[in-house]
Amino acid sequence: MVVSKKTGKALQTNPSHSRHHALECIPVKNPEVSDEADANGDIRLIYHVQVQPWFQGVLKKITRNRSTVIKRTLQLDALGTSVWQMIDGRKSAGKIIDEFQAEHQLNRREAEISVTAFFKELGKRGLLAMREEK
Amino acid sequence: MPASEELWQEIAWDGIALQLPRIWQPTVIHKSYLFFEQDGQPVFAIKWEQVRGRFSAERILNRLQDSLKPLKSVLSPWDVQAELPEISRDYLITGFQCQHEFETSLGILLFCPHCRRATLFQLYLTDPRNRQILHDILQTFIDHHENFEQTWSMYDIRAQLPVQAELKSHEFLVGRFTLSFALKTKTIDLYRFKPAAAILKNQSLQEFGAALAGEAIRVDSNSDRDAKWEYTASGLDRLAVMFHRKPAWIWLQVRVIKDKNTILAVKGTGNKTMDRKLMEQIAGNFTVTETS
Repeated sequence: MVVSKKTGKALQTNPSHSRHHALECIPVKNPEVSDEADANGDIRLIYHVQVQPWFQGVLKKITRNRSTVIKRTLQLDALGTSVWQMIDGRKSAGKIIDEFQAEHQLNRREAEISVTAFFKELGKRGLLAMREEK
Repeated sequence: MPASEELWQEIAWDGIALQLPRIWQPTVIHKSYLFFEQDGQPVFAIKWEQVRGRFSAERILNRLQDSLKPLKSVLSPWDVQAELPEISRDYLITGFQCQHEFETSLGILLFCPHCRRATLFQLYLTDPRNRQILHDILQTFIDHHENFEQTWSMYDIRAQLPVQAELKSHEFLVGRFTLSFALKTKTIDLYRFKPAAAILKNQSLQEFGAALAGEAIRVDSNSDRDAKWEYTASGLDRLAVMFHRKPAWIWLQVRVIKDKNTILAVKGTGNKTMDRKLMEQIAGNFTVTETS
């Protein structure tokens, strides 16, 4: 139960519904993102971001590059790599958590927290979206 | 005792121990309060304290009622003796119901005259069929120990430490659990790391353990399953570590349990050495249970 700090009144929430709903969503990779494996087998994600207009002038002076898009990379560790490889556009977040839990012998809560934090991080960078199952 | 042990988990924490359904996940862990959820919904809570002076169930329930005022929750009596007559007679038992705005919980207050500990149970499953669960839980409840060791069991780790060991801090982060105890003037830290395969992908167990060992020097063979470090400062070194406020004694054992994909470590630190046998006993009793 959540209590309002201002009024001290209980706010009506339904955490089970939102959590259940979130776990049914299907993570989908951004098709613009490419990946490559390093020598250890860990994946590096390569994606492009649009440069902020105020930064374009500075960038142009430093690099003499007129492009408004720059390349970024994100190095995943072994766990991030295994989750990234599980995302196929069909499996739900809940299913991926189940598989991740079984693969690494984690407890349910550990698996859920680490996978959802990873999805959130990729989502913030625009590398992943969540699709609702109809 | 529950019918199927596979469906139950052992919880042992700061002097209490009980069996709970495995699907109940501990989500809030304080020194003398535990809260459990099932599928993201509150399901069970337990709180305990040592009673000094005369025990009064009424006073404890009044305190609970006051703390629930902001939530507009109301306590009412519940005749626990009539519904759960088989509960051990070793305790003074008081039942209550707690009506929250959107839910109801059943509560039991137990007082053990032997160890003078009062324990408050709250079950958020109010379906009458679930009262059997409460009965089963109470049948497994232990709040004092007859021997010199105390069990600590949470999630998938289980340890046995001397009764005098006092929990100073604990952390259950994803992939890293840490329990830190004070035993006289020494500190004993228990660590659980997971998944071992990923942690040891690019480093050996010895390299991994060296980061925990600090000043200590590795003392054993080149086994890929366990490694030990020890350090005892003497002479001028002792003065130097005291000056830098570093421990004069360090003992560390790290071991990998491959079939559970886990690394366990036990570290002792202090200004004086501790019995090596005791440290080895603590390390030997620190184990991984089934993952829930």
